[in-house]
Amino acid sequence: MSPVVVRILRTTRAQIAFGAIAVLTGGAVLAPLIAPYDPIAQLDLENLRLAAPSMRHWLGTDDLSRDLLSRIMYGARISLAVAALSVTLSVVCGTAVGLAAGLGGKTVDALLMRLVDTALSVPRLILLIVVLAFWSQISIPLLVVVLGLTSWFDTSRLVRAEVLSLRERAFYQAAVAAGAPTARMVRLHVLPNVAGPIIVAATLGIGQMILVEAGLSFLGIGIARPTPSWGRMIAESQEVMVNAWWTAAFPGCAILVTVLAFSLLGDSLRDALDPRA
Amino acid sequence: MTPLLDVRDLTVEFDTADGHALAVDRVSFHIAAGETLGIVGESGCGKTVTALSILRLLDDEAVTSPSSAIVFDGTDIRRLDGEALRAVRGAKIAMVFQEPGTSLNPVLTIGSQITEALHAHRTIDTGAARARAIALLDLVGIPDAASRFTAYPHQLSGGMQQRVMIAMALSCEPQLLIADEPTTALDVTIQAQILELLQALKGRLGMAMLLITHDLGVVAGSADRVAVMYGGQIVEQAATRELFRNPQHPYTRALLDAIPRLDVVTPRLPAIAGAVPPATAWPAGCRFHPRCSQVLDRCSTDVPPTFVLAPSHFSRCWLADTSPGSRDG
Amino acid sequence: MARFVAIRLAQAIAIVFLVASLTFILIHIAPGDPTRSLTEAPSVPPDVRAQLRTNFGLDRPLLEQYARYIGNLATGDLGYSFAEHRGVGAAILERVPNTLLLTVAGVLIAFGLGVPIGALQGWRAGSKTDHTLTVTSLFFYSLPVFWLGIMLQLGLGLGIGILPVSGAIDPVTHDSLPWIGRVWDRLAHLLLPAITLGLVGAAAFARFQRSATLDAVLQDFVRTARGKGLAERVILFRHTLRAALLPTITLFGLTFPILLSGAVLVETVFSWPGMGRLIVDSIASRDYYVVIGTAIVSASMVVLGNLLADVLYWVADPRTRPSA
Repeated sequence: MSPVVVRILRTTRAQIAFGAIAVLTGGAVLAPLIAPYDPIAQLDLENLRLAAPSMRHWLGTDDLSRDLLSRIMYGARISLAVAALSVTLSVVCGTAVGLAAGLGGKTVDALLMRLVDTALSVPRLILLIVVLAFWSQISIPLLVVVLGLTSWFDTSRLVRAEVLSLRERAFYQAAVAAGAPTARMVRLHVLPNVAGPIIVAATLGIGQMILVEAGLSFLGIGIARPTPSWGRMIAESQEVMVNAWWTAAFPGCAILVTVLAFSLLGDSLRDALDPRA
Repeated sequence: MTPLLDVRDLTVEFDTADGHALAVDRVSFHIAAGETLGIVGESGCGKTVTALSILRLLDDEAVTSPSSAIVFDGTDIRRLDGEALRAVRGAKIAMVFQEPGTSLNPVLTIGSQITEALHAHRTIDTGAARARAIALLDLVGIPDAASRFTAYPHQLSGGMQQRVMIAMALSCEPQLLIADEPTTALDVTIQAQILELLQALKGRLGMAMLLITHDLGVVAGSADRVAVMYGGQIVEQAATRELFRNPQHPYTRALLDAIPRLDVVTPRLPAIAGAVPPATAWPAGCRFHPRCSQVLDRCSTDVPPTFVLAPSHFSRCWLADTSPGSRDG
Repeated sequence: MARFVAIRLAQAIAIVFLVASLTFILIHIAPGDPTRSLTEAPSVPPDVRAQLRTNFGLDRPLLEQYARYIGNLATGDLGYSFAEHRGVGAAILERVPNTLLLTVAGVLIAFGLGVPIGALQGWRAGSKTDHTLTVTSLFFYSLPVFWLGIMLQLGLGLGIGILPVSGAIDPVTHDSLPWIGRVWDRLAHLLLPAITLGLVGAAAFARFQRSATLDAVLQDFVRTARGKGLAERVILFRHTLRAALLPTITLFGLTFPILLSGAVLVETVFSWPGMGRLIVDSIASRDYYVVIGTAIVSASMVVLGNLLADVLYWVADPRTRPSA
């Protein structure tokens, strides 16, 4: 693994991505210490509504006179935490289901794969709307569980395919006949082969998960108020953006930069793990 | 008489993930009009790279050294560009590849893959091109050629696919046919048929042929002369008859020993010990010395030059050194 | 072929019923009665509320409600919309053409832009052009589609004022326009939402097409074609792209659900009267049969889209034809 890591770190692309992710994560974690204002405080409804970017408010204020930079920094906490946790959950679920389908015999396999087909036929956002729409209060754990449980399908197919191809090979059949435990075979032969593609997919997946979370909160199906979230900041800006472009522009830039950083990192990882491309 | 193809000091290098590879190292040979030269060697010895570099079909990463010359019919192919290079490819020099299954485009009919070569080099109308393609398919022994014209490659067997490749290569009546392992991917019985076909067509059309194979048995019946390659170099070159009767290089002898014979009962077919080293790390001295059964002390340090044994018999081996004191080391 | 389509259609129907069951269960996992807003509004007297619940069968056990729902679904009845006061099927059907118009226009833009760009990148892999286009497509791939829509609204619509930024038609003038004016009115309204959806889709298409073309370029038959002395133009269009476009047909099927997801957001931004708007509006009015119905209809569209892609692939790839 280490030569791969070195090869990745050597490209400018990856360095830019790592740098951006480090800055974003740092800003999110340290937000309570370094954010210039309280993200939900209405600073001065008389004089500071929709203030343009200035030295005091670098990114301006919204129509409730809240500081946009502080809100974006706090919003990063939600976006990054939700995305990272739900991708982790989805990798765990996908691997578990993939192993179950690959090792569990024909009936289990058929059942699980039909379930995956079914789930994949509903557009992801509509599936999420169906699941989340009627909860009156959406908490971070709920969002993480729902996002994680609706995004493991591709991972499970990947792991299943690897298990099935392992089972075809003679050395596996010989080892099993000789009494080698399945768990050991899986650990030695399946997981190392799928680790690379899964890491790539998970890195790209964090970016895509941030987009999904932002889309949901844009539609009003996100983390409950007053916690700042990027998607809802954009939704709320729609009323006032004609006079205050910054309210719409900066939260979107935050999403774009974050997703771009993870996409860049994912692509660099893919190139490093797949020497052909 | 000037040869049809004269390759001098051909050197091809490229960078791989494992380092710099010297795939072909100062290889020289020539082919006269109507003659067949066989190039023989294990995989990894540089014979396919040699074949591809004649038509400049190597990937962009491969660099042919500027001192190399590939003179065909009086012009150096290395100096041709775009249009002029295309006028040679397929028309004057044609090529048949190792894997007919992947070398034919799966989504085009075999007929159209033959006629497009005709259209590329000749002014010919659709009907005439079709008639010629069917005649060619018939020539290479494809039964019911007219109805196969619209077939797709996957609808044919491997042997039939290779016949299509040959028909395609012959379509513009080339002066030189390069056949790179034309029978390797085929069944043994089909191999013999394809070789017979190539031999018959060569005689009938009067073209020269460069036959590349890992199997000395294949060149025995087909080639006029044979060049044996190892480690990116030609290690021995002679007329076929001479090479089989009087092999000089230990590598050639080892290859000859590996041919199954009907007249001698061999308990076990001798294989050459060890494997071809990668092109990124040739051994010092003679490149064959780690696997050689007759290795001398100097072999691991001194690079053997090409010794001329007879006007047309060369060997790159210290055993062929007849100068005084050469056997002392 | 007919057999293949028949099997796939049967699978499609099974998937639709599975989706219906899943969504029915998922919605009932959420705490609270989804029809509360209607039946528990303070203005509704208790006896009327009870009557309503009985009328719609909401007082029955959940299992019975489920059985009744699936039974009705088998006859094509998607239930009743409390907010729209009519059948869910009718409400959705009215929106389907708009959503289809938007997604088809989006696919066309995505395909028309993404495939040539990706093919060029794969053909010239490693070149400066390739690098520039890779970064560009990664940029669009990372854009939140709804934000892109808002920025286009702000820049092209509101800023310059050349294009309408909401709705599918001009509600005041549309009916009085001559037919050519009505067509233009529709096109003008379609332009921004379709470009928004298309640009993000184009990025995905370009990324895919680049690697498909790269795969094709490395195939032996491309070397054969070059060895025949064909012109580079012929090698690219006739040999490489023909092979590289086959996997793209499959991508059509795969992209369809992604575009439908995007359409929900784009329709919201541009107030486009499609299924996406309908589902978002139904959340607010807690009109849960409409939400289930939309999920079912969109799943059917995805399954049919995949089937269409498979049939297209079957027609386009000669390797699916039997040996002679």
